[in-house]
Amino acid sequence: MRTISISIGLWFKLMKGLRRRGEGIRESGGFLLCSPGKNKVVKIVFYDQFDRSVSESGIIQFKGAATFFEYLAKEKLEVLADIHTHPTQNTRQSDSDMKHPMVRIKGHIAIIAPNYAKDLFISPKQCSVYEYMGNFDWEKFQISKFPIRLNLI
Amino acid sequence: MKVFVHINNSLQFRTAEVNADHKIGHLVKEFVPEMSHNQDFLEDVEVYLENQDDDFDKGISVQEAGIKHGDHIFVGRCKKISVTIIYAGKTFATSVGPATTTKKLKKLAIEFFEIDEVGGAELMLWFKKEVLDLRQLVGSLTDYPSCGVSLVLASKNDVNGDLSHDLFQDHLNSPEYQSGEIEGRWGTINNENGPSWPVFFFWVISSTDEKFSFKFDFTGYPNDPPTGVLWDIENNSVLAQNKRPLKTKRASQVFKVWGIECNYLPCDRLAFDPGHAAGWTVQHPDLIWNSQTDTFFKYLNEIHQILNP
Repeated sequence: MRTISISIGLWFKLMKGLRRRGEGIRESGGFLLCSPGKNKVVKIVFYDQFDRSVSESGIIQFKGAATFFEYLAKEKLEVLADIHTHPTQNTRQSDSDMKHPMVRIKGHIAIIAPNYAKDLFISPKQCSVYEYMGNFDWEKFQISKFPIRLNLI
Repeated sequence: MKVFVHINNSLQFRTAEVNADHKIGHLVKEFVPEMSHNQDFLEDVEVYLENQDDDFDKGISVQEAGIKHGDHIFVGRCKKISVTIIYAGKTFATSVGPATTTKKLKKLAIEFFEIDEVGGAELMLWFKKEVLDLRQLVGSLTDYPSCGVSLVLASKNDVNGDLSHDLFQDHLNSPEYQSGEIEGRWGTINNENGPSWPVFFFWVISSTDEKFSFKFDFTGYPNDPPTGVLWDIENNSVLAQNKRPLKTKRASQVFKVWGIECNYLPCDRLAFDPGHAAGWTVQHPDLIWNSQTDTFFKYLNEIHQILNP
């Protein structure tokens, strides 16, 4: 099982970025990036950096995957997880979430944050985390095996 | 017969009329004429059949080469193409014949990245920020002497976060809707083979036992209310005015033909504009959409009541 190690500072930056982009009215999202084969998040990027119209419809419609993958190759980074917000407390995966893995490789992790991430502090455990098992099948991480670790640095 | 000819460094392939006894070498002279004046270059130009790694002997005929009507062939100098395909920060590098199709390349990449079949189906190969036609031959993406190409494997559009259909299904299974369906007050129409979400069709019974069809659009549901309109299923169009149930004052208000193709109701997304909001807030506060508590049942039930005064 892959874990995600992220500094408190980057986690705050991630939540703040989602909140600012969602403005409490639309979904927003981004990627947690790491060096190849590592578990530590070294960079956060948001969907709108690669597709400005990504949240225009209120939900995520990301058309920037090809540009994003070129960016990853140039920066020598990999995707550790993706994250997007839902409008309410409901962080279960929608049909769209299940059928559109942002990375279609087994073991990819998708995180869903509640309430457009508009609360001032959202802890990782307020989010739901899912692991891609292939064939559009996902498994939700239970709290006992929760994969996100917050670190001081 | 017709064959389709691909050359180096050109995404446009050409149609060639050839006879069965045409020599392969003739194809080279016809399709790489800029090289044909230089015998050294001409010797280096080879002809390949789609997805075949071995080139043809230029002295044999089209028939002897086994080329058939509709085949795609590659004519050029690159004998192998170095290909790198990137996906989510990972790289697949390979070397293939110039007549390898992008369809075959995509399959190789999906196998390398261990992407399952259903997940891979929506992925495309991108070249210079454009989606590649799966009919392209990889030799057409590069030129001699580089004979190399970099591609990206990626989807065109990843949709996340739309819970509207999931919640709608939950509401469709609610006791209040199900009860009305069993009693024959309303039902769904051919939605399995019909429109794609967020469009959905319902019928509602009237007091004269006539079933009226409604086309709904559930964009943004349930944060935003649905919008619905009387629908002519046979003609796939908005129901004509002379076929509408306009017998009561309330029905003639709600189902009238007006500037917008929707029912004139406060709980309709398109009808509820700032111009009407103030009046409706006073006259019909119970019919204004509450995104926290309302489901499409509120809308459907109101239509049923209007059709059954």
